[in-house]
Amino acid sequence: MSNFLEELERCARCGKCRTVCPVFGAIEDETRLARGRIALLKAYLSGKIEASGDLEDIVSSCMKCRQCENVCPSNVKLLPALLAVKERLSKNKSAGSAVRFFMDNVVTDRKRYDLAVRTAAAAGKLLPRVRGAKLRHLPLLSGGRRRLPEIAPESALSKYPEVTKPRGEVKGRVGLFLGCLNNYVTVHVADAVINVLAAGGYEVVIPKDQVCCGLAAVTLGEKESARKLARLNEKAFEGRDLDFVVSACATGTGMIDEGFGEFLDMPDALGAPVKDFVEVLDIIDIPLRRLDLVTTYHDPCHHTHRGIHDAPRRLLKRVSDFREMENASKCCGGGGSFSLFYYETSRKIGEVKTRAVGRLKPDLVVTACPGCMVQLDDLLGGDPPVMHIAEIAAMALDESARGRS
Amino acid sequence: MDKDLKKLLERIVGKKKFSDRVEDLLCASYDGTRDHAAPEVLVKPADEEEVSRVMRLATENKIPVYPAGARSGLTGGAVPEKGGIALDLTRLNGILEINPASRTAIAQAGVILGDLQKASARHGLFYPPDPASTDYATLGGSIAECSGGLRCVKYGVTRDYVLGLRAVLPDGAIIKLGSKAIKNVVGYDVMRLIVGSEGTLAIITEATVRLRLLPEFTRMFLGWFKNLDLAARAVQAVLDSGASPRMVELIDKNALGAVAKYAEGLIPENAGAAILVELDGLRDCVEVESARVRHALEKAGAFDQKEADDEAGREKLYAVRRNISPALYNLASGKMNEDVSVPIDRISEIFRATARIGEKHGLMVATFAHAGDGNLHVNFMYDASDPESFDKAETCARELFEKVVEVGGSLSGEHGIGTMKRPYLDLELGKNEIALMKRIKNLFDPGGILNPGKIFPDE
Repeated sequence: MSNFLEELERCARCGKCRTVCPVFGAIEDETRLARGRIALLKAYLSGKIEASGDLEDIVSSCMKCRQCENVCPSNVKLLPALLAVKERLSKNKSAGSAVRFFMDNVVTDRKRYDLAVRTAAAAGKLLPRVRGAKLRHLPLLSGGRRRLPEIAPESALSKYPEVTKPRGEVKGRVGLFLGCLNNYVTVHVADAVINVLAAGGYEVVIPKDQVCCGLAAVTLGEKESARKLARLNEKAFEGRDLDFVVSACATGTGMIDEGFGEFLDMPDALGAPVKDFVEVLDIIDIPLRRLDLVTTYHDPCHHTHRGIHDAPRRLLKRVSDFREMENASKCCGGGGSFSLFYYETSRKIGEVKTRAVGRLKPDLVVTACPGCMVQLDDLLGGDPPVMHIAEIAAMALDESARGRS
Repeated sequence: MDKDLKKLLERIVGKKKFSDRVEDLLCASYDGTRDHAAPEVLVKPADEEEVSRVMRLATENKIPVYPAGARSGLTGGAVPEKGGIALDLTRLNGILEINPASRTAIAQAGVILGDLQKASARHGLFYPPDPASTDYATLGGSIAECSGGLRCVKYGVTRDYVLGLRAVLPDGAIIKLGSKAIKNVVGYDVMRLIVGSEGTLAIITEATVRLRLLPEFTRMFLGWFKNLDLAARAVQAVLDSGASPRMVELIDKNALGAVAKYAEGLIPENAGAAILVELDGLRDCVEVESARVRHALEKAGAFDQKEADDEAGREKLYAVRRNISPALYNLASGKMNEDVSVPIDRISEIFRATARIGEKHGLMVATFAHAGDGNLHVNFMYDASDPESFDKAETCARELFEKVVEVGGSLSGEHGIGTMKRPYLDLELGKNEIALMKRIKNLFDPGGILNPGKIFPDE
């Protein structure tokens, strides 16, 4: 822990994180700001304060968006330290918590995970639809008020063979890392990604044994489960002879690329370079036609952290009437499990998006993270629709280029 | 603090805006310095009335009160050294009026400067003071510290833009000073006394400030020089050229070296110093002034010059300056940033002195300056894990202050004294001046409860 303490000591307390921290922006409480969290983590790690429910909440209520790290003049890395403390706090708790059981015994086992998701979907179907929407995915976690997408009838992993070949000449061979949402819920995103990659001449390998990226486990303090997941993914992608691995989930990309090394000491576990789908857009050669649509773009926080800004906009400008919205790179408030545990705060954070989209009135809101899609769809109530950039690219594909062999 | 008093405070601001939990207190213990001390309670009043009631209660019970905005101050001004009440003013965050005709704004103390800028810009106006912390610092805090920034060479400092104030005295009395009128000589200028008083005389709750028309056109120049003397000569030449730049920044070799390591390709290899100049105004005027600036830079010996008009281009040039702050941490883990101010003709002398002082004590020192107004930021870089190295930095700072006073300069141009520069106050101010200031403090705050101990060293 001493190296984390040293890292946190570098905080100069300037307060610049006030400009970006979404949770602070919503509740204006210094203990929920990166600078305050750093002060408290320092006090805890150096034995000045005890672990408490408050401290635990202060750690849990961080969105892990890393926006503070992006603007920090001292370049302090808060997240690795925060997650290490989270792990310590949850280790001290009695064994056998529901979260630990779920992460360790269900998420790491594809069959059990499939079963759990199917059961949840079935249970969800028994519940009434809310606000005319499709509320069929763990609805009770947000008190049943939330608009959540339906679980797809068939997961991406069961839908696709391990290798999908392009119709024409093979220009390269890439692995596709799906992640939980693109596998179970936003399968249409996976469809689009595979279509676009195939149209660009890539042979797409989707290892059947791949599992969750593990960020949720790390976030909830279950690093051992996350390591187990990373090892399973390592094995799943081993010896596949890939040019690179693609992920179409901003959060997943961050985890399997930077996160494996940073949080789990397992850098380069997948054995090939990792690219986010939007980064592939810059190197792929596909014929695109223009769509008669006004689009805008929301930057997922984990893309901002990766330095991605122009690539998705280049595509949108090419195929549609793209208009920049205000605060495009401000957090939508999704944050994976954050929005389940802190629903009110999450919605409050998202107001900035509702306002910006409301002023712009585009036909489509485009983003590149299934987590953001779920959140934005809930915030906007389906009007305008939210789509993944891969879906736009797939829609704009010239007929001649469509399809797989 | 006893329970009854806590109950009374809680009653004033409400249960949710009062706290004595250790987590909240720790997060109200610091500002943007390494100084810290936890208060006994944190209260967040909603309005001036609640501020007044808190103050009355504090005066009656002789409890110290420490007002704070965003806690981004750089001299310990908001640190609750003696416990007591941390008074968070960020809930007073209303922009009450932007008046395009009189070019004034009325805003509460907790308004973020950047938000005031955005609101003004919608009317084609801007608020000239622009400290680096504009995006998060509050109006009240910046008035209490009399913030400066990059544009002071043309536009002046916060003091020049405050037209009126509302404030609460330590005993709870509410005072109203100044007005929207630009000229006002009625009575003593108590308003300007409160500007820059570092929260020791009164609690600012609302300000009427002057705005200016947003410039029609802006152009930035970056000039590269082989050494500092040439660059300093260029600063003088630009100021003498007849042009009226809003910004003239000078960056020394060590600061450039740090940036070069941090951001590749930004700094030419043979650069020994750089200056950044920015002009704004009517397009035609900027064109005329540009010719003067180009000529001045060239004549002073710039080996390369760059220009940019659009925002993206200016941002690119400005990266040289903006990256200094993060880049310095690549030189050492600790940074002692001293904000000193000298007559413009003594700038290069101070630059040389800082290098000499650093060398003498074996510390890396990187300096950059708002050269147009003689305000330098000297960074003594030390090893944060080594107390001896920190002591060395303190020695360097003292030697710098002595030199600054010797050339007729000032210990602080825009950060204030707070706790950090308190030990050096008597280098600049004499016995009589300090005694007079203390009498003024006593007149405002006979009980000594408002931000006690700041500015003046203990006797």
